[in-house]
Amino acid sequence: MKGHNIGEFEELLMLMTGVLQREAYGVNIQREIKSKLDRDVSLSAIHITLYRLEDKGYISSYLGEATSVRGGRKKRIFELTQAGWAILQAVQEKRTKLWQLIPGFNS
Amino acid sequence: MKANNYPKWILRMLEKWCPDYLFDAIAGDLIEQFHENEDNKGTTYAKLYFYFSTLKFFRPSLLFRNKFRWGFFRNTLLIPNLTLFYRKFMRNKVYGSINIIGLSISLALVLLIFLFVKHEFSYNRFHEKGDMIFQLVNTTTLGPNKGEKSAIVPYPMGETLYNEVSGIENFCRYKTGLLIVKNWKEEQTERVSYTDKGFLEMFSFRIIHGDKASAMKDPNNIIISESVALKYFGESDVIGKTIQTNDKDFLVSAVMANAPTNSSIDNNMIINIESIYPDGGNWDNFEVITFVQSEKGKFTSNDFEFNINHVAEKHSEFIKEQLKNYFPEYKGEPIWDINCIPLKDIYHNQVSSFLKSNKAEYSYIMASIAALILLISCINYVLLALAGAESSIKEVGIKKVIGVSKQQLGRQFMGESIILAWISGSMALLLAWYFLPQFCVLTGRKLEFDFVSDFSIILGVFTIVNLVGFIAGAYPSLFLARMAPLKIFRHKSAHRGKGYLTRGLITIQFTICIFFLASSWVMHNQMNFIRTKDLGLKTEKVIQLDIPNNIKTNINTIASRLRTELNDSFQLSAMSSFPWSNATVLPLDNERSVQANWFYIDYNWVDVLGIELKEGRNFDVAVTSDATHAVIINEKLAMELSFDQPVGELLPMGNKDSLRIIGVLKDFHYQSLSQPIAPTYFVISNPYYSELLIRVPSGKNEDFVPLLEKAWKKAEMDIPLNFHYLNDVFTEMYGSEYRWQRIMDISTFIGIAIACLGLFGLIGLEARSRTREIAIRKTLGANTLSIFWLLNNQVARILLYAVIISSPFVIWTMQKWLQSYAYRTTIYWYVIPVAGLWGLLIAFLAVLYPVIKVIKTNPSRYLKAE
Repeated sequence: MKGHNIGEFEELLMLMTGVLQREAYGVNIQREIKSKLDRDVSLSAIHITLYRLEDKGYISSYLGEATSVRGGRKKRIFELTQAGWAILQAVQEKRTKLWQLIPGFNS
Repeated sequence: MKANNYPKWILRMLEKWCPDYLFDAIAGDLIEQFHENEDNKGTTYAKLYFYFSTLKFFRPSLLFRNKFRWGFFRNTLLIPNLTLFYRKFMRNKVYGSINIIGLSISLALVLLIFLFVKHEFSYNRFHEKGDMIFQLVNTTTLGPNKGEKSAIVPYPMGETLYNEVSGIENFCRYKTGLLIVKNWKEEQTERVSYTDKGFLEMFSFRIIHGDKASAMKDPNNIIISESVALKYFGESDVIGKTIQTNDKDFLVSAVMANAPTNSSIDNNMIINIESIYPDGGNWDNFEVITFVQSEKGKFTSNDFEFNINHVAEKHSEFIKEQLKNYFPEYKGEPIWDINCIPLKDIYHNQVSSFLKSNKAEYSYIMASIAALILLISCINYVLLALAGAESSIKEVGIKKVIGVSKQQLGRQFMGESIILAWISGSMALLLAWYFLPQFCVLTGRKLEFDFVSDFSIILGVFTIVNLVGFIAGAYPSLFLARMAPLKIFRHKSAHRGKGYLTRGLITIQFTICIFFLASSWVMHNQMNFIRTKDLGLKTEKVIQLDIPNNIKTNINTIASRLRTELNDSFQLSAMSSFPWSNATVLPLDNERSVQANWFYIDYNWVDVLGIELKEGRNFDVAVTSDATHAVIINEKLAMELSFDQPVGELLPMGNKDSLRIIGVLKDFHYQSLSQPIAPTYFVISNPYYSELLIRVPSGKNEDFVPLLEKAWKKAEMDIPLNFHYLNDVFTEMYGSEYRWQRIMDISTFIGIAIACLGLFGLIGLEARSRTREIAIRKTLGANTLSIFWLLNNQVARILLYAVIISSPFVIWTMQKWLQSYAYRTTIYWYVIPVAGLWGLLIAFLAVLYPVIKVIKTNPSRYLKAE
């Protein structure tokens, strides 16, 4: 689908949302990216990108519980929508297709 | 439970710009991150990290999610008012644009003229010792020129004053001339200044290369400006190189930075003045001007000028003796009345042709033109803002019903007005910047536009713009905002009663326009008069060759060689410089004397210029006494001399050799028509010619130049061929007049254009607000013309007032201007009324489109509504 591409960072965040499920909120995503991929990402970048993905309709969000470690503030928990799953799979498929086209890869 | 030791104030800041619905989650994440960091890396790090992470949220992609919450902007940037302004502007594009265009054009003009005036008043102010340097200016105390100011003082004056008057610290004599430089194959004529070494100590011209103290020691040294160095040598460090001239070779001893554009004193090339006066001049050598430098604070003492005059008198005794012999009526009165003119004033004090100068009046005239045009466009701005406010009266009503306070409304109107003014202001800066080169050509000045260093420009524009915006916004913000909503809805249509204000303001605009129109018409008439006036001599097809006086070949040799090379149909004559004459005083009897100009001419000079002889005869080669004892005079001098029969009489020359009048020439104008014809006489004198005049036979204009060049080459001259048409010289006499005429034309055009723009907008709005009335009239059978008149009869009446009000101003100023010409046209009676008619025509044309548009609309469209 033309015009419905997602960037690398967006894909990363969507995958993380999928991985973390009910624990998929801003600072936790940051933490997991650090521990799993050893990559430093700023909190604001994560938030902004998540809001953008929400605008595009690939993820949705709801407010979760508040904890004391958060100073009594609620979490905004993100989850993938159907469209989000679809585009992640489409990206995956396209990539596999391209990998297969590399000569000598599949032999 | 964690301690809440995270910095809370920065979260409060985040709350200000962050959309509400996102804030909680973001803050929570930040705090969670803080605590984690605190556990792992310590509190300080965590706090720092907290600050940065929070500040990183200040980014557009978050800010612009503030779709439902404007609080932040409402208090600071007045975004809703801006939106409102934008919508209003788009709805009324034409009127908004008229406002902006008119104001920005006139502001740009004001800016440019401001630059000009500022430049005019900045002349010679860059010298560090400027307030201690004075130019000596003498006021003539005797004779027919009594009261005239002259800066030319005797050559030894400067040095004598320096030696004998206490308080004079330094002096320099100064004189300019031309030098033929032979460094290239093609010889170049360069401007040169002769002066003393005090020049370098007194004036702040920067020396780039070379030593100040020794630069002018040797009369064979020359100081050149950087531009001259680059021109001849391609580099600026050229000390020790040679400038070859027709006279001798000069050794470059120093290179000077180019003089700023606002310097009266030229520093193109500087040579020690002693090189042209090797044995020092006498007190009767009147060729130089002199600057003196006082000791700091000395000038305030009253007797400074007195001492100078005293010393000058003391050294002029022998001149006085001569005068006593020459003029019997002279009894030895003081001949000096010297004043010290401060350096900063010499630009506006036109006393010496050696220095660049200009009348201060020109600056004042320019400034008044700018002020008048600014007034026109400000009136426009105010009028259109008023009319626009009328149309937003409903908005006021509804807002008031909703509960908007009058302060808020007032602020809104004021804000709109000022925003519009700001837009115009920035456009004016752009326009001014764009038109600066053209303006430089028009005014003949090298002006620069420097926003950064010249903060006053920005400040000036800012002030004017805010003032105009404020005045224009004052009415709606004070008056409309106060109106009771009930009154607004009951009357519905615009509030009346400000008709006088509007009409009065338009009258002022048109008065200015008619003034411009009529004045520039009179100026055109006068220039036409000058162009078409029979001068009494034929300047067309006369070529003038300048022959420098310091060349080796005698001018008569040049003339005779050229005569043999050119064929007989060319008439050639040698003479002293023309049309610039020498002057002298002829004593008539014991009481009276007359100032007369005189020229050295050749035998056939009268024929070359086609001047008619009234009485007597021309010089004749065959009569040998003509070369030494004969003179031709003009009618004016004949009249002054009041002989019954001038031919055959002796010219009264005091005790000098007698000259017998052999002919009288009809009067002809060789000076600008601003001056009356001067008494003039002409004598033959071989050694003092400096110019050749050549009359080209008719029909030979184009192929003459190569012919002349060929002849010049064949004659083997050692100087460059330097010629121009005499006609151009005569046109150049009126150079500044033509320049002023153009400036006046452009001002007239801009003034009328802006006023018409305003009228276009105003009548357009008026016509639109009266569409119903017009529709009803049309259905009742009114024709287009009568409706047109209905809408415009006011304009006609206003123009009538404008003509009446402006006519005294036009007559007064133009009479004053015409009086500066000895030969002038009159202000024709019809100029002002016809200018008024023109104004009416232009005004009608301007309003034609909006009015016709309203008239032509089908009346049912308006009557159906409601």
